Amino acid sequence: MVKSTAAKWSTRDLMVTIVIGLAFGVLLIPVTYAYAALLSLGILARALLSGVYYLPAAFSAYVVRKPGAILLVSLVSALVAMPFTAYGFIVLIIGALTGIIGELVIWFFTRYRNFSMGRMALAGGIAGLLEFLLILASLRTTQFEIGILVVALLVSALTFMLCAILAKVLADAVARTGVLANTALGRTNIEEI
Amino acid sequence: MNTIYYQGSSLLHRLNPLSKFLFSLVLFAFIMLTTDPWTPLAFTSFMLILLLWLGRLPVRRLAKVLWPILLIAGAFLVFYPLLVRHSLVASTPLLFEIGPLRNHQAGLEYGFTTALRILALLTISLLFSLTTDSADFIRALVQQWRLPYRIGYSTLAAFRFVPMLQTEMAVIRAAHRVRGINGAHGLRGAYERLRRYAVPLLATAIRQAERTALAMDGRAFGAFPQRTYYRRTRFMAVDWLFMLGMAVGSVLLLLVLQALGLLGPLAFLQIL
Amino acid sequence: MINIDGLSVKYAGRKQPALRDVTLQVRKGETLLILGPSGSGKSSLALTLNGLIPHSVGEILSGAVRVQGLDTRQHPASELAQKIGIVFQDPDAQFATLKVEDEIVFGLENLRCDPARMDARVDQALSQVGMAHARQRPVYALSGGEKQRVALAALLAMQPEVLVFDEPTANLDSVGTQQVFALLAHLKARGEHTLVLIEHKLDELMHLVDRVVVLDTEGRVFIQGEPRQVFDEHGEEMKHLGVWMPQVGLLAHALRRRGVPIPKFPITLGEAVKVLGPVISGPRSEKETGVAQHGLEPGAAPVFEVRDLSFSYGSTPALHKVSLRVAPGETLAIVGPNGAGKSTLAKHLIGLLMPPAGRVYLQGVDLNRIPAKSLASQVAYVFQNPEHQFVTERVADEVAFGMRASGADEEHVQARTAELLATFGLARYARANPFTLSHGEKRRLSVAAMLAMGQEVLILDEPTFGQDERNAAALMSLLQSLNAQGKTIIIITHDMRLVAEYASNVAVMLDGQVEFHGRQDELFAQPELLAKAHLNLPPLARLATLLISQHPHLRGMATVDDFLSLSYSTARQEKVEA
Ligand SMILES: Nc1ncnc2c1ncn2[C@@H]1O[C@H](COP(=O)(O)OP(=O)(O)OP(=O)(O)O)[C@@H](O)[C@H]1O
Ligand SMILES: Nc1ncnc2c1ncn2[C@@H]1O[C@H](COP(=O)(O)OP(=O)(O)OP(=O)(O)O)[C@@H](O)[C@H]1O
Ligand SMILES: [Mg+2]
Ligand SMILES: [Mg+2]
Repeated sequence: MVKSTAAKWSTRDLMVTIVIGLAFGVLLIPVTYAYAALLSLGILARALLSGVYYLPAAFSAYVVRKPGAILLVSLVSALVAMPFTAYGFIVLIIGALTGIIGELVIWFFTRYRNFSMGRMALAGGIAGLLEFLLILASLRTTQFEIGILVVALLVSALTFMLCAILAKVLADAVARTGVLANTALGRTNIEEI
Repeated sequence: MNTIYYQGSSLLHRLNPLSKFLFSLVLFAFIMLTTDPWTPLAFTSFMLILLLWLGRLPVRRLAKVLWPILLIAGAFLVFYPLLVRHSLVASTPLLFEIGPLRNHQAGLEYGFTTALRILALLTISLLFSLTTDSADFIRALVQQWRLPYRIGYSTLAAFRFVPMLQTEMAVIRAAHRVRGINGAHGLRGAYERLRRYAVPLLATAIRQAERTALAMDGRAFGAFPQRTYYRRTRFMAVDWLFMLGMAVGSVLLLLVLQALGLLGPLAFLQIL
Repeated sequence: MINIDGLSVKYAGRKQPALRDVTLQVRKGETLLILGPSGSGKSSLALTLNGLIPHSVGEILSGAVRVQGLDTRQHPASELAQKIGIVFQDPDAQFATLKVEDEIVFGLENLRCDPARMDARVDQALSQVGMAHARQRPVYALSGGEKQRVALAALLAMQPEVLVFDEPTANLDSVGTQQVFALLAHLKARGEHTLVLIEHKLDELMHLVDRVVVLDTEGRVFIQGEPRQVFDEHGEEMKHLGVWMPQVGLLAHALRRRGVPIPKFPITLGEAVKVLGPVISGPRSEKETGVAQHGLEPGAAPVFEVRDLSFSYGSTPALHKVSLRVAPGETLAIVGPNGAGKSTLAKHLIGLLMPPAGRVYLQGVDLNRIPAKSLASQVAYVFQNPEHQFVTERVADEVAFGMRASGADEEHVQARTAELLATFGLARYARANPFTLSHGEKRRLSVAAMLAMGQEVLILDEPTFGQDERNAAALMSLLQSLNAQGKTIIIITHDMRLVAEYASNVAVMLDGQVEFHGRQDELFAQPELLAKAHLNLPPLARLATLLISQHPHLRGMATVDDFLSLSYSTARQEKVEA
């Protein structure tokens, strides 16, 4: 997948996408600590924070609008956070997971064309469901109370949705500063100054 | 930059990052499958010995990165039993009861096993991240595992921004303080706070990225589908020896555990 | 060598082209200087030379650039990279790797050079810039000047014929600037390369330049020609455009206006010495110049008083027993090399680093006891990068923010905001997003926003960094008028020309200590101290020291006004007229 699109990616596209991942990685380093702490409090608490990792994914999807951007950003922000925390591969695995799911839902709901708030939020919600189900599949599900699982599922979907909305609002705020003029988002609402 | 990576020139440091990565990944996957507390415990000790012996890691440094991990494992031990489905553990003796929270013996055992497994998974990650420079890792991925070089080298170039972005965060915090920003409240306040940090941070980072991209293009980056490498990374004899040694060591460890009757059944579909 | 013909260039998201109908030749072996106000398209012009425009950014609307006959539109940037290399302004934004050696081979690897041949090229390139010893060093551990030298070495390894320097010293302190200028002189002397320079520290550079091109605000070629002629005949217009000129040129124009004969228009210090030496006839007239009026009056209670303040970041000492008194109404410049502790001291004055009790006093009150809020309403601090301080999405809100936060009533806030925006020339941007302003406007906005609370003390970190002449002058005259209203102003800067023009007093910091605190003309009369602190004399102060053996009364002079206060013999002119 990366190979076929790599030709269309300019160095600037690549650098901007990666740097979005970096900036969120830096913003999220404190969250990574909280995440690991909450991990121990169980899946319910974890679900509350897991959506935060979808923030860079949704942001880059909305700004860059190219297949591959989400995976790249998710991996990069995980790679940045990894050497700062002792949680190593876990961060990387969560990053890869979020990236793959993000690619899928964004492709399905937006086709990289229609990035309305509704579609972004919906894609986010579904991503939350999928991510939770995948995490669940790797847990010993039979050990948990069903009630806890259902609540955690809903919480996960909701936080992902919230983060999707947040990502869009934030990206629009950054676009208003003019620095995104050379990105897909900047070109769509082109207002020449 | 205050990263986990411990600068050194030990055997572990000199290994090809990919051989460490392969070894850690396989072991990581295997530990995820274990259900008994003893295998993770054995491998945790194995990793720590490797770090101290082959990695020449000072004990103090190890202790410093280890204590938050121990804290997390401890937290699992405490909280896990409370989440476990009641019917699974009801047959075992009740250890204590605080209001609605009941802690059965089996629950504690689950918690104990999980905590040790987490501990093992985290120490395996440590073996990699304490002794591997991320840049070397990416370089090896590009040269040996065919990661497209434009992605790999762009990532490397961008990685230099991390310390800059961290300083930037600190300066923004100070700048806001001087402007007399008071803590905002509620969801809206939280968003405002995020925006105030994220917008200047992203704006700076993106501008810098565009400038760096220009400078790289100006030096023919991406001009050809392939490029040459001044220094090649490759698997050396020592890498093969390391992987072989680790495989033999791990199998021996498992055989001993088996002989002692400590190795439990493996289970798919579980982490925690 | 390079032929630019009727070139117009536009960026995505911009209505106006950045360059319009530019026709220009770069001749083999010459050194071409490109001048123009901020935003005139100097950098854009540089990017068209090696094809980054249109291949990586922007588009060519019309016209063409031909490098040795090759049209840049048809030839990829990779091919042009072997002919033309650009050293950019920001030393940190042009590296792709973490180590000096990797950086040098980066371009060679991209061009698929044989790895076996790289070693020799690395050695050669690094020794050409005098950095052979740093081959194994990590890039982040280099100083700014060293970084620029490595950036140049990375280009040299690709053996280009044309080297373009886009404000290579803009982010450097005086030591780094000197290193880069020495390197330019060295390149020029070797004569192997065609050089294109974009720079505005002109006095140190003019002796290298063969030809000058000036762009106007619209991105058109305003004038091009031989430097002496351009500065001589078009000086007034260029000043009006906001283009930097050599200081000796400015002085020559000013003297001419006074009727002093200037037979050969000087553009370098050496020429100025020859021209001025014979015509200076008398000492400084009694009239004092504008800046030195606020002395440190012995009796006045200081605004700030620092007593034996020491500070370390962990194990890195940053301040050692610093003592300093700042008088009310003073304009104090704090100067010193990178890492001297200037910013650290400033942070202690605004409570970003809390001084221990009894070390720092504001208006006689221990800073330690002043609540943060009250401190913010008394002292304003403007950060180096104005964007860091922006907290809202509209210019007007930005100014109003502090007042609203302190609970002022809305009517008052509106009135005061409008007033400030008008004073700072920002009224027409009231509804714009602060980030979309130009650099100079951002800077003015950050000052306006900080001053909204009516603070009496204003501290600025590097206020004119990366600005053109007109913006820098506009900001400084604004500060001067604030100063005239009685506000105390503390400026941290590397720009000695700014110190000469606007500061009444100077504090020199070195290794965490205040080495000197006094009037600027006293400082300029102490070359040993300046050298020790790696400070360059501003050009006219240097001129004064060069002339001092003939005219001892030039001691401490540093500005055009200082020189204008001298008396001159106009004898020669009379003779000519007769
Ligand atoms: N990547 C870009 N995208 C959009 N507009 C740009 C871009 N780069 C420059 N511009 C605009 O093009 C015009 C010319 O800019 P340029 O950077 O070439 O000027 P300059 O003379 O180098 O200015 P300075 O002295 O400030 O460096 C300016 O209006 C600038 O805002
Ligand atoms: N946050 C920090 N942590 C550790 N050391 C620091 C920090 N900030 C500054 N230093 C160190 O303290 C010393 C003084 O730094 P300071 O920033 O005050 O210098 P400066 O005179 O402002 O330099 P510049 O001209 O480069 O801005 C330097 O050695 C610097 O490396
Ligand atoms: Mg420029
Ligand atoms: Mg400083």
